[in-house]
Amino acid sequence: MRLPDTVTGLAFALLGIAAVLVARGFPAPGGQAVGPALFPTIVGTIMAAAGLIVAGRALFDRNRRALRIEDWMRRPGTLVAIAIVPAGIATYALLAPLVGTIVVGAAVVFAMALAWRERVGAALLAGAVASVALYAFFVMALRVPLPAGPIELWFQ
Amino acid sequence: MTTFWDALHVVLSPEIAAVMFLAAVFGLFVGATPGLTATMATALLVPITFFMPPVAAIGAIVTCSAMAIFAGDIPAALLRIPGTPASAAYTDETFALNRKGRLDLALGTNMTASALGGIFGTIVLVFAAPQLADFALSFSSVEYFWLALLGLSCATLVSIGSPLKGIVSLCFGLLLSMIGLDVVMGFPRFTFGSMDLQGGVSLIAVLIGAFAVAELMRKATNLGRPLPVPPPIRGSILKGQARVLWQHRKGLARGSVLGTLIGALPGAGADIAAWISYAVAKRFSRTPEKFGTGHVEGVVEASASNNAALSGAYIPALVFGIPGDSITAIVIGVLLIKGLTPGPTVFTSSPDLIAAVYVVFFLANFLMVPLGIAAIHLGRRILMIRPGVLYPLILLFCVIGAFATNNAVFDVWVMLVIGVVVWIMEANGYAAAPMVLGLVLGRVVEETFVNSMIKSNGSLLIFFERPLSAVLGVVTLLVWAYPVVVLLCRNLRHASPDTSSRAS
Repeated sequence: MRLPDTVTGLAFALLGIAAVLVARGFPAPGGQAVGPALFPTIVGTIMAAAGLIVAGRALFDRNRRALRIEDWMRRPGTLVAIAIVPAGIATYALLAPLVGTIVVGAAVVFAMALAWRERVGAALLAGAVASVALYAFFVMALRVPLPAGPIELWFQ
Repeated sequence: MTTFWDALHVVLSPEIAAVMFLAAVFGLFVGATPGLTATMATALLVPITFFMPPVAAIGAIVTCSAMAIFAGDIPAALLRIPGTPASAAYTDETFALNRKGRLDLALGTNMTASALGGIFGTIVLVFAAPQLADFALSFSSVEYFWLALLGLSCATLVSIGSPLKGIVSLCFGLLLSMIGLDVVMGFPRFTFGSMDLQGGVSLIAVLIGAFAVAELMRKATNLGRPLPVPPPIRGSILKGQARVLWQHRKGLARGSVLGTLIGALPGAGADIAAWISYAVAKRFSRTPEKFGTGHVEGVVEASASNNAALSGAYIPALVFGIPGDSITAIVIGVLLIKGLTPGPTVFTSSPDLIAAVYVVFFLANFLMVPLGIAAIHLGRRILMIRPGVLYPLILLFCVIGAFATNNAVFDVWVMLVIGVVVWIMEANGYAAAPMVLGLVLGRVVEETFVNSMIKSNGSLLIFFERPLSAVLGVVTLLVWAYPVVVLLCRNLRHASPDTSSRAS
């Protein structure tokens, strides 16, 4: 997503300033030269300065880039294909501990495959095979206790 | 020498050999798939290597990344789409060879030159690393502070895009490294009361977010038509290779040397090495006009260079713990998680591990020929895999991988946030590599600084007291001054025509 440099520069500058402000609340070093606040303050200051220069340069640049609608933003299909990536991750994080890895994993793969223009049958198959295979690999070969639900308990 | 044979014995044990073989297949597959990078292959491997002993983990990463860098050449020659950024420099050249009907020559040269470049880089690693490590034993926290700072500074300077944005990206990584209990007093910084953040941000989650999730989102912005099916390869791939390599032996040697050096430079990796070597090959060629028309000369030099860079990057990584590129940044992260701090002491305390790394490197580059031939023949099939099936699978692998290392849903959230942030950052010219380097080296910089200050009772002079530290300090300051000087020179040059026109 292309944004004007003024926006990204300012956002990073604000993050740097916030880091410096939070670091002011850190305790002073007891009898030592350096405390926990020193590094965040230095890094936050450099970040704020660099961010402000990025933003300032863009502000005074005559042929600067304004917020532009890019080609892919006009295509709803592409927007869904992009959004499905973070949405899929969030869905897993929220639902897997309740319903289990296999069901949520299969649903995420299925939805993303559809959004990426796969046929329904292939998407269903990919979801089922991928989630069962990955679950088996991580649980049996690597012995990771992945979030389990009714299906996984039934397997055991 | 006995250590070497012991190491060979360890590496050739069935488990590690199997791990390396599977990693090689995985690396060839990921490298040959356009849009998936060698760094992404490595990041995806990390959650699995987490459960392996150190030698197996390094073996998997080295083999996988070497194969991926070579395999990136396959779609470049077949379809003019580089499989990894490291192949971009000579994509037009190998595709032109393909159009001339010499696909076998293009890919054969890619493969043999890659293997030889990788072996050369490994030989340099074997001889240079122990010498450097011996020298580095006399380093104190001050020298390490300067080295880490120098590594970070170089990384922003040579990063793709503007150095200013590189600095912003680096600072972001450094701030991420400060989350959690601080090194001086154990005070929780930037945790906002969250228990999950007390131990710091999970490096693996950040790596997968930055190198895999962000890539998936970028891939989604240009979901195109399916790739055309490339023609099958006719003729033997190795036929006539010896003659070609002998004919261009100078370029092969130059590419290998330059690649190793560029790889050893912090921040510059295989892709920059390939670009520079291709340009150097053209500059010193007797027939520069043939470049770009399907001429094999530049391909030899640049193919050797990018694989040599991969080995070269391990020199500063193993000796000083300063990564030479994003892949070695990941390796250092993996070693740290395993409780091994890369540095000169590793060479004396675990020589078996170091010897195993050498053996792994040699084996990986030798394996490249037989497995490479198989991959070249299967390359067409890899390109026929439908993105709608492949990419969702990668997403699920990312999610489960991020969860698996700490069994924490929290890490999945970290991966999500970093993935979205890096996607936005990269679209706006902020490279991700400085951020990852900042996250890996942030603690080193702070710890060495604090230790030095405690030693000196708060006097900053300690950083310039010893001759070695003074030299390193001055070099670092010069690296900082360089962009400022360039900027001033440019402004002066811009200003001078104005004044002259006004004077006239």
